[in-house]
Amino acid sequence: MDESELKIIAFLCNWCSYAGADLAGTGRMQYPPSVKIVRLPCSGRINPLYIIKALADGADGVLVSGCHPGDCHYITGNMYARRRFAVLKRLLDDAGFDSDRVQFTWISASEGQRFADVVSDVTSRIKLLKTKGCEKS
Amino acid sequence: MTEEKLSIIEALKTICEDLFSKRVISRVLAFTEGEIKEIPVVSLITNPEGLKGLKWDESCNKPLAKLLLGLKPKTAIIARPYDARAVVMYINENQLKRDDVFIIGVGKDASDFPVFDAFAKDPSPLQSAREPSPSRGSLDFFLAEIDRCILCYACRQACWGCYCPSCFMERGIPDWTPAGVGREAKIAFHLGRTMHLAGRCVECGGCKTACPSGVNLKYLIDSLTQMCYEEYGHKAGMEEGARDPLSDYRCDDGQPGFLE
Amino acid sequence: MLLSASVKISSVKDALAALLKDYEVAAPVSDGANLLYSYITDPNDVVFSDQLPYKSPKEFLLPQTEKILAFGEDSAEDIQEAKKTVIFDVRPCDLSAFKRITDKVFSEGKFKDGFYMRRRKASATIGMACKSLKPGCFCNLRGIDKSYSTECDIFLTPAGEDEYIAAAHTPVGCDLLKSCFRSVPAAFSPEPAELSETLEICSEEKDVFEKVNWDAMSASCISCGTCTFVCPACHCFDFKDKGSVRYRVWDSCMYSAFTLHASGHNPRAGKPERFRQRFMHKYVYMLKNIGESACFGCGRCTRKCPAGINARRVLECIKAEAAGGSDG
Repeated sequence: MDESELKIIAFLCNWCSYAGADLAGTGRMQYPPSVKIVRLPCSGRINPLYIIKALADGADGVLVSGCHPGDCHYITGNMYARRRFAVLKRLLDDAGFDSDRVQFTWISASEGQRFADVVSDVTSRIKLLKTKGCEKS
Repeated sequence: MTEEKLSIIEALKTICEDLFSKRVISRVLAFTEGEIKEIPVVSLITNPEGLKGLKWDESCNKPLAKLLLGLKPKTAIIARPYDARAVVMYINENQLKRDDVFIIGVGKDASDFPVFDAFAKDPSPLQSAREPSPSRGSLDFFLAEIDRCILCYACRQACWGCYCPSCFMERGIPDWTPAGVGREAKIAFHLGRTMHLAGRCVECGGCKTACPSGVNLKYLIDSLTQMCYEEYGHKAGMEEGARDPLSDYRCDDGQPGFLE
Repeated sequence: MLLSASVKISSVKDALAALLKDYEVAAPVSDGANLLYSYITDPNDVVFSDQLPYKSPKEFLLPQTEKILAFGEDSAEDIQEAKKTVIFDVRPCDLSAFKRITDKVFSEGKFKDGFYMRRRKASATIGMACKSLKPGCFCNLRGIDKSYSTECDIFLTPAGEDEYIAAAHTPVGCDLLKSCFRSVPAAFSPEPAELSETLEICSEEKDVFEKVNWDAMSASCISCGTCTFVCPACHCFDFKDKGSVRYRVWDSCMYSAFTLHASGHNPRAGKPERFRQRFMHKYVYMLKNIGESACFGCGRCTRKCPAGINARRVLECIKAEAAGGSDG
């Protein structure tokens, strides 16, 4: 499968992760074209329903990223987000969905290379899941 | 009916009659006998005569606390531990005032109740409603239950915690659930509702007992309840003034399953 | 009655198998937790019991979710399909609900509903006598004879230990009886049940609306809408668009969004108003509009109500309070 066929929705916070993606771009770093970025003010603004809806509407995977804990532009937004995502991941696991399709991480504005690495990593994981899924069905 | 149940009912009647006569309360929220033996009736009793039909047994297993919302003070509620916990949650979430409710706890031990104003001992209370979860993690089981759901929202209506004036399921913009139609909508509803309840569930089992189709997805929220206890040391409705775990944080919270 | 014949109970499964060749067959099956009507593929799945399935079989005529049109950039699809269906083991209460309520609402009068009419035309009903009144049932007070009905294509009445008397009431019923059932012609003269009094609200609409204490009546209701979903006569619906496909879905007057205006105003904003609407619609408005009240005493709402609200009891209270002189 071609990586460009994968649809991965990335919810990124405005202040760190989106700037990190920007840096990856201006730095001409290579990463797979599978990722579609949605910019949000803060990882604390990400409603779990965004993630559920993305999956329900046919996304192959979801990547969520915010500022590193302690670096939130709004001081504590990502602290709340951290609990929320941990709980959501557990819920998806419990319901029997492959929670590998939803990935959470922290990327700062200076980590352009990390953004590229994370996207590559997530893409290969989801590609693997999808090929496994295809074999099953 | 066994004698001990009868004596509980007598005790409850005495407490309520006393409250009525002293004009402490204007109504009692309780179960009464209905015409069908197996189906107890949820009643708002407004005078001492109404206490005649009071019922108390295992079939009185539905949560009552939600009916307190919007009532003028002061109402007495004949509460199992989960009702008392729900009242505490309402107080914590600014939906009720402590002074507006008179809690008559009925249970095995007074320590099961975070708050109460009167207590009657029930030697054979309902067993703890937390489900063992053999089916946890099975997509097939989850989808089989989902397919049985008729999306009537009885679970939501029975739940103490679902009191939003406008539920996310009823919003057109954004349309979280593809038009409220089909499997995707049911999945979004149940996962969305479970997320909203995470760390707030008082384990009354109302979602399960209210469901006309017998859908049992309670194991999902039970698992999150357990997680919130283990990870964040939180038990919903046990402490007045406590914040629920998803409205709170610690700097050293774990991040299980996050990408390194 | 056009034809009557005796049918061995043991041969009914063979008849269902024969029907399955040409028809979709809906019959009571168990899903582990409940008895419910469902399309079957194997006659052995059918549960023969006196219990009433927890939902009415209205979903086969008015599906809970029904695609009604789809469109693309330069195409449009008008959905016309209606599968040939036999609904098996329908009780007199449900049969009356179809004949007297949904048929009248959807296929008579000013507005005709093609989707309903096509399904109704393509489906046959095989009725079955109820042996007993289940807890919550009050069809005897709603003018329904639980042991016999003519409002179906074939009606099965138990006769002795191992036999049904099948009565065909329509040409379709006669054909099905002859072609799919192993039957022996037998005379049948059903005795109409003696129904004592009927429970009907006789008061003026205005009195029912104003004198009844709806606040107290609805105090324990949790607005879950279960009563409307399991009811054979409730038929309110809404339209939903999902991309370029339009669906019709069941709606319920017990939901606050049912009457919500785009402006945000809600004429039935509170629970008592919505509760009042359900009962007035059933027992007063429908009687006025089409000459039938929309309750046949199947008792499903009573059995499934999470708050233990008993429909018969409510009806009795409404009747008494509306007739009473007090201001409620």
